[in-house]
Amino acid sequence: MKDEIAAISDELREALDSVSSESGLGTLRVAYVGKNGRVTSLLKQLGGLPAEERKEAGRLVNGLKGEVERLLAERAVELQSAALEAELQAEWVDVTLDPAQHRVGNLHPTTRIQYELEDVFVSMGFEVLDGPQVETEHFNFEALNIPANHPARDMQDTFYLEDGNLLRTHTSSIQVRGMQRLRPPFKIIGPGKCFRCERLDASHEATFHQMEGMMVDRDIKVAHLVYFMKTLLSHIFGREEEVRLRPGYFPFVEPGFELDIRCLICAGRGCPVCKYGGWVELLPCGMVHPNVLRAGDIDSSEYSGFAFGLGLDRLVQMRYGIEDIRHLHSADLRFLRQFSH
Amino acid sequence: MLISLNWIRDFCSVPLREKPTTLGSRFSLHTAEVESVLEFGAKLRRIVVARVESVSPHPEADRLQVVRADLGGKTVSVVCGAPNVRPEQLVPYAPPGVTISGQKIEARKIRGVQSAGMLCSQKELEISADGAGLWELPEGVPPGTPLLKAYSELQDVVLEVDNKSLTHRPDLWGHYGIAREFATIYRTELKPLEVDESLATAPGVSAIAVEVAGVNLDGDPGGNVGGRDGACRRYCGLQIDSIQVAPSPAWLQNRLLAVGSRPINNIVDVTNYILFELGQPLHAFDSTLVKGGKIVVRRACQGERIELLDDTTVELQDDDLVIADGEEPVALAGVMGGAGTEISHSCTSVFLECANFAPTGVRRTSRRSGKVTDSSLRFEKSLDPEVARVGILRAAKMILELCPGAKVVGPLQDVGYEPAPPIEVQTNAKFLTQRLGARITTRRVRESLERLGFGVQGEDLETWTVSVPSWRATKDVSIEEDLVEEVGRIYGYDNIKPFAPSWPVAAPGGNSHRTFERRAKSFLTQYAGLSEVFTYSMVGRAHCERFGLDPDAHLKLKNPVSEDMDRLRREIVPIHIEKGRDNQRFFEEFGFFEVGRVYRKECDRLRSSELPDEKSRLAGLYCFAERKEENFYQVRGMVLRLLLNLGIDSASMAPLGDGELTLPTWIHPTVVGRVTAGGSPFGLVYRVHPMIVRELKCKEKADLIAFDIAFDDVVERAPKAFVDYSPPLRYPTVPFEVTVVAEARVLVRDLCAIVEDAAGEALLKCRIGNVYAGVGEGKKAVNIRVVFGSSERTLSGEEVSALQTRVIGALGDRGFPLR
Repeated sequence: MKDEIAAISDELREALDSVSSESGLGTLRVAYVGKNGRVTSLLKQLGGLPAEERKEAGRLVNGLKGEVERLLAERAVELQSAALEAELQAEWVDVTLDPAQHRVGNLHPTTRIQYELEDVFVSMGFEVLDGPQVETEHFNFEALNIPANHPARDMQDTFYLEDGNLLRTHTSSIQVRGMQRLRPPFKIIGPGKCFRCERLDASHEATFHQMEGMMVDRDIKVAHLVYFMKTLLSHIFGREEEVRLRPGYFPFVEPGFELDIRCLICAGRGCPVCKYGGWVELLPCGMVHPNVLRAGDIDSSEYSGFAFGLGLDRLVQMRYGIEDIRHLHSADLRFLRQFSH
Repeated sequence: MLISLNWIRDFCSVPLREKPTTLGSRFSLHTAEVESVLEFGAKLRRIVVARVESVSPHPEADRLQVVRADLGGKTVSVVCGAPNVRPEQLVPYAPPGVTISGQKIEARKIRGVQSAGMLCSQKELEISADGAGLWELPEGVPPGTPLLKAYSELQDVVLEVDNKSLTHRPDLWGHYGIAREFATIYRTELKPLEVDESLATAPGVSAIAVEVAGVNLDGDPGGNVGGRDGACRRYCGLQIDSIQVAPSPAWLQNRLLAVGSRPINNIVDVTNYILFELGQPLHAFDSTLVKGGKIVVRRACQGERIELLDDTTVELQDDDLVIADGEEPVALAGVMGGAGTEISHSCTSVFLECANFAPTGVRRTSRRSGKVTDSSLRFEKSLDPEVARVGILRAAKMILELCPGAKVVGPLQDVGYEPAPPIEVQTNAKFLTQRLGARITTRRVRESLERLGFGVQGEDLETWTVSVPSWRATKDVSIEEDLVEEVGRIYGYDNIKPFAPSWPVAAPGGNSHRTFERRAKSFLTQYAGLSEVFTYSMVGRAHCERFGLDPDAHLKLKNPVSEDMDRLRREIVPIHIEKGRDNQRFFEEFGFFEVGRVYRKECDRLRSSELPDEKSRLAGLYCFAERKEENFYQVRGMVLRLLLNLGIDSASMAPLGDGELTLPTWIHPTVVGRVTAGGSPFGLVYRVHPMIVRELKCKEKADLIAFDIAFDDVVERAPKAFVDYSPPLRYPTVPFEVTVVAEARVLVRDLCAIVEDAAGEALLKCRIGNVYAGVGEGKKAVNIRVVFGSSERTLSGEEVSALQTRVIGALGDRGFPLR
C-alpha cells in the first residue's frame, strides 16, 4: 500500500503539471478524490486491513488525501490566476492614440487677461461697470474735459456715425457713467471694446480693448495710483517688470502720466513693437481732472481720485510676445487654440 | 519735433558729459516723450574742406570731370560727376578709407583716370536730402580744415520729441522753451533772451500800415478780428530796407538742417530760425509787392482765392482769416504765405510779420485747406502773444547782422494786443506735496516753480499766490492741480514711493451681466470645447449684400478706414460663417463662439436714449466634416445645456411656426429651431444654408451649424434665486416604456405632451429613448420611457396598470399605435 500511495502522489503531480484548464482539473479531482477516485478507494480498503496495520495505513492514506487536496487547490489557484493574467494580457490600449480628438476649448487671450485683472481689482473692492460702445460726444469727450475743437479730439482719431454719435475711443466714458450712478467713495473698473480710426499695422488696431479704472475718495494721491498700477502689473506678469512713470497729457487727468514698460518682445533692445525705443506705452493714467469730477457732480474740493486706462491688447501682446496685434481679431484658430490655459 | 542740443546750449549749460541717451530719457521722464536720440557728425570726423583748383574734362566720359583739389599744402586729383563743380569752390572732401552713404571710398581708377577720394554733396554726407550737387561751403575756411572744426555745429545731438506729447505745451515748440525745461531739470541757469529795444523805435515811416479789422478800421464788413478773444490777438509788423537776399552763413544753415528745415535764403532762414528758437512763426513779405500801402488782417470773402508759396491755390471761405494788402489776400493767416509777395533774389525791402493767431481758426483753415505747416502746428497750440514782440525784434536784429547796410524803417507796429489779466493760483506747499504723496521740501517745490518761470509769493507754511508766466497761461496752467503736475514732474514721478490708500472694507457691487457672461464662456470653452473669437464690429456693403441684409439699414460710419468696414453689424453669424470658411483651410472640424454686440438704428423706446440699440449676442459656429443629423442635435443639446447651466431650466427647442418670419438667407429653411424658455424666444440653432456655403466657397461636404442667442435676455431671465429643492422620493417608483409608430415629421415633444396629459400627477418623468426608421414609408418608431410614482405613497399594482392603459390609449386615440 505504501508503494501505491507513493505512486498516486507522483502520478497526480505529473497529471497536475499537464492539466491546463479548470475542467481538466475537475476531471483529476474526480479521478482521485471523487466517489470512486483512487484515494477514496484506498480509504475504503482501510476497513479490510488487520487492526495492527490499519492505524499506520490510515495515517498514510489520510496523509495522502490531505496532500492530494492541497495539490489540487494549489493548482486551482494557479490556473485561476493564469486565466486572469491571460484575460488581462489579451486587453491592450495604445496610450499614444487619441481617436476621439476631444478638445479643450480656449478663451480669447484678451478675455483671459481681462478676467485676471477683473479678479485682482474685484478682490481689492472695485466694482465692474459697463457702458455702450456707441457713445455721444458728451460722454466720450465733453464730460471728460475735451471740449469741441480741442486738439485732443484729433489725437483720438474718432470714428463718427452718420447719426452724430461716435464709437467710443476709450473706456473713459465708463467713468462718466460710473460717476452718474455712484457716490464717492467708490472704486470701479470698466473693461470693453473701443475703436479708433487708425491704419492697421503690427502694433495698431482700429478695434481694441481697454480697461478703465477709477477710484474717488478723500485725499487720493499720486502715490496711491502708483501703488495700484504696480500691483496690477506684478499680477499680470507674475514678476516685477521694469516700468517708468513719466508725464503724459490727457485732458481728463491732471497731472497725467504715461506708464511705460520695458518692451518684452525685444527685452528693450528695440523692435517694431516698441518703435525701436525699448519702452512700450502701456498705461495712461493720472489724477482725475477737477472738471471731470465736476461733470460727474462730485465736489472736487472735497474729493480727489485717480483713473487709468489699460490697453488690454497691448498687455496680451507683451505677455505672450505676439508679433502682430492683428491676430487678435482674426478669429484664426491656429492662433487662438494656442491659448488653452 | 527735432531739438538740437547745440542750440539748447545757447541758452543753458546742459552737462557736456551727460550721455545723449540719458539726456533723452531724463527729458522723457520730466517733460515730454523723446522718441529717438540721433547723434550727428560722428561720421564726418575725417572729412576735410577742399578748395577746387582746376576742373578739366574726363577723357573717357562726358559726364565726369577731373578735379584738382587743394587740401592745404597737398593736392589730390579726384574724378567728380557733380554738375556744379567749378574752380575756387570750397567743398567737403572724403579721403580714401572713409565710408560715405554706406560705401567705403577707395583710391582707384575711374574710367581710366586715378581718383583719390571723393567730393561730397550734403546728401552723401547725410546732412540733408540735397543731392543735386556738391555742398558749396561758404568762403573763409582754409583748405585742409577738418569739416567738424570749421562747422562744429555739424556735431550735434538731436532729440526727436513726440509732437503729441507737446499738445498742451505751446511753450515747448521752440528751443528756448525746451532749454527752460533742461535748465530746470539740471538745476542750471537759463540765459535771458536778448532784445534790442532800439529797433522798436527806428526813425522814419514804414510804407506799409498794419490794420487789424475791427480794431482800427471803421465800418469793416468782416467784423472785429482783433483783441483778446479775436482771431488775431496781436500783429507786429516791421519794415527793413536795403537788404541783400543771399544764402545764409553756414552756422545758420546748419542750425536749420539740424532740425530738419531746408535753408532757402537769409531772410526766410531768419524767420525759420526764430520759429525754431521761440516757437513763434514769422513771415516775411517783399514790401515792394504789398499793394495799397497797407496790411489788413481780416476775414476772407467767400470764394476769394489765394495762390500760396507751395504753388497751390486755395479757395477761401468767410471764416478763414487772411492777411491782405490793399487789394487781395497775401497770406493765409498762421498757415502759409502767398506766392505774390514771396521774397525773391532781387528783393531789397522786407516787411516782417510776427503775429498771434487764435488756435481754433488756424486749425480750421489748416484742416480745410489741407495745409499743415510748422506755423499752423504751433498756432494751434495757443501761443503766448508776448512772444510776438520778442520774436520780431530778434529777427530784425539777425537780419541787420546778416545784411550790412540794412536798416529798420519806422517804429514797430504792434496792433490789436490786449494783454490778458495775469493768472494767479492760490495754493500752498502742503497741498502740492500731499496730492503727490511725496515728501518734497518746500524749498524744492518753490525752486521748481520758479525755475519754470512761475512767481511764488507767500511764506513757506502759508497760502501761496503763484503767478503763471505768460507762456504757460494761454490754456495750459490755471488751477492748483496744474501746479501739482509741475512740481511732481520736476521731482520725478518715478521717485514717488507707492503706498495703498486706507479705505473701508466692503464687498463691491456685483455685475450680473459680467457674471453670466463669464459662466457662459467657461461652459462653452470647458464643456463644449469651443474657442472664443473676437471679430470686428464693422462690416461693409458687400458683406451685407452677400448675406441678403439691407446695407442701408445699418448704422454707417462717417469716416471709415475702408469700404469693407464702413457700417456697424446687425448680425454676428454671417461674420462667423466667413471666419469658418477661412478656418476650413486649416481644420476639418472645429467650433468657436463670440460674445459680442450688434448695433441697430432703431432706438430702444424703453431706454429713451439718443443712442442706438446695442444688444449683446452669444453666437457661434460648428464645422463638422460631414453633413449628419446628429450634428444639429449635438449643437442643440449644447445650447440647451448651456442655458440650464445658466439657470434657465425651462429652456427647450421648438420648430419655427409657419410663416412666423422670413428667415435670413443664410439659414437652412428646415434644419432650424428656436430656443425658448417660458414661452419667450432666446435665439436660434440652425444649419447654414447650402447656397451660402456654395457662394462663400466653403467646403461643400462640411456641415456648418450655427447658434445665435440674445444674451441680454438670458441675463434678464436667468433666475437670481436658488433652485427649488425637494427631498428625494421615499416611495418606490415604477418605470414603464412604450414604443409607438408615428409619422416621420411628428415632434417627439407632442408625444410627450400626450403622455403627460394622460398620466397626470403620477408621471414623474417622460423622456424619449430610441427613435428609428424602418417601420414603413414615412414613419418612425419612437420609444417613450416613463417613470410613475408618488411623493405620498406607494402606487398599487392596479393604479400602475391603469396608468399604463391610459397612456397607451391616449397615444392610440391620437393616431400613434403601439409598435
